[in-house]
Amino acid sequence: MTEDTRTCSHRLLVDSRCYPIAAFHKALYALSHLADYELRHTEGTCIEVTLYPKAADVIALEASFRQLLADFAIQVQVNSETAAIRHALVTAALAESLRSRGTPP
Amino acid sequence: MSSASASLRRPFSDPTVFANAGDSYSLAPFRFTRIPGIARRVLLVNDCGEYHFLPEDTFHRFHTHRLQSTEDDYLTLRSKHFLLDNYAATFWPYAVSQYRTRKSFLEGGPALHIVVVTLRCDHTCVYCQVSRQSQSNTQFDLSDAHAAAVIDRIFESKSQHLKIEFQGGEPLLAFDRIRAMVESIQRRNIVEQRNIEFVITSTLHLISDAQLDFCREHAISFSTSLDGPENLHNRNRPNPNHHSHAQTLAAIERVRRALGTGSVSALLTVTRGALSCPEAIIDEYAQLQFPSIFLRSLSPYGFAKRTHQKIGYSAAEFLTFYDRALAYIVKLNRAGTYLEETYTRLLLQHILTPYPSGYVDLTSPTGAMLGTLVYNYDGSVYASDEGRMLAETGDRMFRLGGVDDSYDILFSSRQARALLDAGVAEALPGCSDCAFLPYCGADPTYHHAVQGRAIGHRPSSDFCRRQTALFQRLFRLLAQGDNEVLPTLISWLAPRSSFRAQD
Repeated sequence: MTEDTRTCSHRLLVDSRCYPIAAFHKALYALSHLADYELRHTEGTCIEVTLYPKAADVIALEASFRQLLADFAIQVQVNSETAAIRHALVTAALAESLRSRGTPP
Repeated sequence: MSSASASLRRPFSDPTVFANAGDSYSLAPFRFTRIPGIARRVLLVNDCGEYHFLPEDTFHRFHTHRLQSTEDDYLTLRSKHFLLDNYAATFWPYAVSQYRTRKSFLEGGPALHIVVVTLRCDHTCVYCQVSRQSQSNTQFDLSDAHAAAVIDRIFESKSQHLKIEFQGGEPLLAFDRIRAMVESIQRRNIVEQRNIEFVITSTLHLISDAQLDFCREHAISFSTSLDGPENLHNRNRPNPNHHSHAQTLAAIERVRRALGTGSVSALLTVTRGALSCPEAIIDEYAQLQFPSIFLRSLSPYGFAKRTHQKIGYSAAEFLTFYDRALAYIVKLNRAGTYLEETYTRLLLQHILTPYPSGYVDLTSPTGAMLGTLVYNYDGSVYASDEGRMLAETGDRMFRLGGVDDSYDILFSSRQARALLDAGVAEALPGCSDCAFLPYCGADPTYHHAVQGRAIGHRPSSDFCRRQTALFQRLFRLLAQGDNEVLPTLISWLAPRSSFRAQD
């Protein structure tokens, strides 16, 4: 992590091969009450994340970001892997309701 | 050795019989989180609402398909629909049935119909969300024509169970309107054959013997407001003679004598003044032998928004109050006094059973409009009571149309579409990956009122903060297998005797 005291920003480089871009979006959204942020693709395989903390402890903020990024990477993978099953589950449940109740209200 | 004696010696098949050939399995959709205070365990929740805690390393082996089919966690995850393997045939009927049950509140159409018969009122409550009118100002009463149209709309719902709630202002000031509507609805129900429940939300101060006789005859129950001990109640709910609390208690007793002890329920609104005295408030409810208390936070709607600076509080302050109050309620229960906290009971019902409560804030798609309609005295139809309160300050975001509009028109209005766009938690940023989603709701009305956008910004939402904290508390108890608090909370899920007007 590098710190720019002039802009009160903190920059991290993360290898994008380890985490899908959707995980970055979700992790940063979850922290958007604590920091503004910028995302930038760099040369090579890294993504540069610049955090502009609103008030929070920067060390804790970075730790939260890294934990959320790792968790959301798993969640994104699970969502992708299970999308067809989720779709089938919802469709089957609603189809059964329509069959048994007739037309919706 | 005969096969019969072998089966007697080992009544259950060897676990290897159930092992999945090749140990291959597919994941079923789930979300996960970690609960503060529960170290190295991950909470998984699936779309059916089943949950399971896994040790961190087991979790990582599970989602990377490395769990062995002979492991206990594997068998539990399979039985709770977190994975599909060679036994996938058993997954579909059960998972579909559970999911369908969770969303069954969508099947019948709106079941709760709130009719605002007048805006006239004899109180000047500090948190009043609507523009109350003086007792003589009858131009703020529901008209004959609008009342007839309201009845048409109510029966347009396909819900077999209809709850019709008369509100105000003070609805007893327009009791003739209530009387005419109840009689008309009951006549029409001879053909319709619905299960209809009537409730009047009232201070009860103005109730007469004739009104009580009518309510007894037509099985009408009451919901009243009780904010706790005398000084707090009188401060929150002043009336002209400054004896609001004493009059409320006397009226509750009078209604109970006439209609039975279960005929009146009471609602608490937590103001800043209540934060320091949860025990006194709870004692008040216990002494009056109410079976439940609902620790409701202040609504930031309508005119109440203007007084929020004076009587409001933060989510953190409310949670501190809630913890203290819940601990005291549990203590009373363990000492033999039955008193449930309604919100905790609703959350637990969502976690531990597949049955929806229908509570508007905790449904997705939103219970506003899909589960509830509000008919205002002026003939406007709103998606929820909160939507009506907002309209009183000029924000008509949740006005679906007029009482003369059919459901087709109301449900396809621009406002209805906007509400649904923001009312499906599964599609909202911040909610879509939240582990608590199957138990929670989107509450677009709250987010529109507080944040200016119905979709809302969950990371800074007090609603989300409060919900998350309450779910975390309950899952902490579940993870710890708590033997003191949890049995009391779970006992609240057991069905209690319902109101009988003649008892």
